[in-house]
Amino acid sequence: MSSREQRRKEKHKRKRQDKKDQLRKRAQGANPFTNVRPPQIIPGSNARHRERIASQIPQAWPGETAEDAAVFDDQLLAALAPDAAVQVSAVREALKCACELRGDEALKCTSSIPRSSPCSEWRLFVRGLVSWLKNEFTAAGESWERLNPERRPGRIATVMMNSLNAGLENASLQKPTHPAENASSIDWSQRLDERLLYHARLLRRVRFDRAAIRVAEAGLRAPEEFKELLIGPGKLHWLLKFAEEYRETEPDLVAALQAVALRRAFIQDFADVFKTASKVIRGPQHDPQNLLLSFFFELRFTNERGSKDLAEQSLNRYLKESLPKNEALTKPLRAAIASSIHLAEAISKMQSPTRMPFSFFGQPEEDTSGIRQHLKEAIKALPTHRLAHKSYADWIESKLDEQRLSAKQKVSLGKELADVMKRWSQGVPDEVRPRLWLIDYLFENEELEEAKPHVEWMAASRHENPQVRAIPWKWQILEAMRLCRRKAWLSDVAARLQDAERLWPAWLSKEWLPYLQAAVILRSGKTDDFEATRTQILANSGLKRNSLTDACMMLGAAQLMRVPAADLKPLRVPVDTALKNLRNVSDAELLRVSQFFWDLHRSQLLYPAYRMHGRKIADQIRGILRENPRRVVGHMEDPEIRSAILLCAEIGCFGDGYSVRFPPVLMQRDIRNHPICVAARVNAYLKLKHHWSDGDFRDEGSLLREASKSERDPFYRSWFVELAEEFDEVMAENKKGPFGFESSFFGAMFGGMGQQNDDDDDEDTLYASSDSDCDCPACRAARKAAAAR
Amino acid sequence: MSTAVSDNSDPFDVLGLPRDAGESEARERYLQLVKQYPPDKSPEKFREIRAAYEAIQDPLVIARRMIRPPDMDVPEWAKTIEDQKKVLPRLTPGFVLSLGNRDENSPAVGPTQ
Repeated sequence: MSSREQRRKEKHKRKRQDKKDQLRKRAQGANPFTNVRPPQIIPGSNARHRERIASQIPQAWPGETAEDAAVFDDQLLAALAPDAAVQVSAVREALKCACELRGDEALKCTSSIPRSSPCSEWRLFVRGLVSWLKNEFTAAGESWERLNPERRPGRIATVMMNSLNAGLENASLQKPTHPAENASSIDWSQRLDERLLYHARLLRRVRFDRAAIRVAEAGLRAPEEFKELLIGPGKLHWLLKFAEEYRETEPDLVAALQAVALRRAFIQDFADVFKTASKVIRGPQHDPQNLLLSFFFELRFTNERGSKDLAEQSLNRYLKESLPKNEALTKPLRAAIASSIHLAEAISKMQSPTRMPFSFFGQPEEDTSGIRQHLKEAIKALPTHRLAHKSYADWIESKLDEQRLSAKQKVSLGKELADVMKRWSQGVPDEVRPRLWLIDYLFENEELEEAKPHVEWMAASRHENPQVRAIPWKWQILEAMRLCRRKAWLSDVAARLQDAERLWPAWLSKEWLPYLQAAVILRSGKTDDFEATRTQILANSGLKRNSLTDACMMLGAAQLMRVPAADLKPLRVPVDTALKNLRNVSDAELLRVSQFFWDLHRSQLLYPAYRMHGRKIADQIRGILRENPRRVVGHMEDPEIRSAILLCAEIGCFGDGYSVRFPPVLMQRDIRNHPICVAARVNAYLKLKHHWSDGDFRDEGSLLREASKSERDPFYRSWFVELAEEFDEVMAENKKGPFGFESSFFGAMFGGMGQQNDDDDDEDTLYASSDSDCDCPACRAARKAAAAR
Repeated sequence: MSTAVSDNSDPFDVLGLPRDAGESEARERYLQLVKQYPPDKSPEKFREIRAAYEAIQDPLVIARRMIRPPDMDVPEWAKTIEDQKKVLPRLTPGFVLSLGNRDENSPAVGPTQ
């Protein structure tokens, strides 16, 4: 064997040994009770009482009426006449309802029994029983007064009324006991025989004396092995014994104490005690084996070797074994639980500064296959889970935004996103977002047949969203664009554009339409006609030829209408020239083009070249807003100003990906609550990659909802509400971690960083302070104040 | 106008349900509350209860609640016992019916029919 191979083997051997040692140490360390003797507290035996209860079986006596005995004897019930059998069955059902404290249902069951029936005694009895179980003993006594004391209902009533007597243990048949105060006008003790006295004592012990409570109080008072311990092995052992003794007679008390024991074992950090408790105590209905609880317990120690594996094992066992077999839950609830867990797991694996601890060595690689797997499982478990679809789509879109993607990766992610959107629209048919996205995507890929159902659904739906209502219009534009692909189809384009003109949404400027028509002419190769149309357009619009707005509108229209590259080239020149020296472009020109760009965003009709110059121009527009407050103050109703603000927010000019950097002028007291400013602020916040400056946002959701009520523009009316909803959703999600943890250390583990409203955060976000790049007096003053702090 | 559960109110809190309450428990509690606050006497409260119950009809709402880890505040034994003192043990129909059993030779007592 080579020495290299030998060294490698020795290294592995050493590693294995180290691992074994660590595990052994951990096992020893986790059990601090090895040398501690648990206190010897054992509850007294309850066996005799249990036997007495177990022997309490209703038995008919010789001569008991068949109707009375049939209430508990199936053979006798089968032998009764049909009418009587129906009544006896009703009595059975009524007793069941009464014992389950469903009093009204119990009374309803016996309401059909006629007074002349032999079962009418039971009707009276049930009425009294319902009152007695509600501790309304006077009403119970009044109902039972008229019962025949020789028949079973009367005998039971005698027992129940006598059980109220606290001195029953010392009572005898010779010396009548005192009736319970105000319980009834008759002396129920007069009706007792030996058997009834025994039953009354038994009932008193079961219902009122409750020895289990005294035993529990005494047992749980015993100290733990250590002062700091919430529950130790001794107390746990005692509780198990107690449960054995009293589970049959006091199931609710035992369950409540066991739940407390389990929670105390969960809260403290001793793995051995928790492991024992979770094994011997049955968990809640959705997690009887405490596997989910074990997952959460182990999750707290993921820094320790093995705990992460244990957590994963517990969760896998829960999802694959326990949950699918849990018949106590309905199928939809099981599916919802599985889907929610997978989604939470996916979200917890997603890379985000709010969920990842800072590291000097950079962030660990995102487990993309794990995230995909969990997201797919979440959707598979519950195809109607909107949040799972949305999270999947958002995650892929965030991946598509990454700069260093190759063309192949982009195509692959695009296909995956299309698949997600398709499944989303199938699982949640009323959802608009996937349909809007799919229409564009399918059209782009010439999958018209697949796009049509979505268009038809949109057209048929009376949806309030103006973008949905505008789909028939957009379909015409998209069709015109498609027909421009081939010269042979060009003859049909004019009709499409005419239809588009007819359907043009009121909330969109019509200024672009003539440019689209001109582009079709250019596409047809009629350059003279094109020039004439251009002149006509400029005359009508008042725009200068090759001004920025004119150039962008023409270039955009030509690109979408598939004008050949050679004809496109001269149209690029004025845009490129303006871009080279944007500082020389007038403010008025920049503000005007912002209206066109904002319309493109609203209608989702961005042309390819826009991606090259849109952001640069928008940055310049942001400069106008920042440096010339006078252009903004007092002009908030100007469509150009509104468009400029909203465009900058939409493109992400008001943020650096991590915090919102709003120009100070838009934070001035008289402007900050203007609906457009609020919408821009919320939109800018939603566009952030990571929402960790939410401490600065408070009433934006309600401000937008309020503004939408008085807004006349249908687009803004709907959009404000949409933004508010999305904003509230993000804020709510921010408060919780992936598992919805709120204010717990789990929340801190998953999402605490940045979610706490630390004072430090206020300096980073410029909600009401300054822009670090800005040199205006307000920002300089704000920076100075921050430095002084 | 329908009154939905306000944004900040948890439907489980409105119905007074524990964290891990299941569907049947939710329904039982809802019926109890509806009887306690009938629409003709407490229309506002009834609407609130109704909206909360409708909200938890969505299994995802119950599921999300169920998969949360337990709160980290330490539950007290004494409080649990005090609470349990108010919850009287339930009786089964069989046990209730057995209370009327009679020895064969026990004499008839009390007034006769």
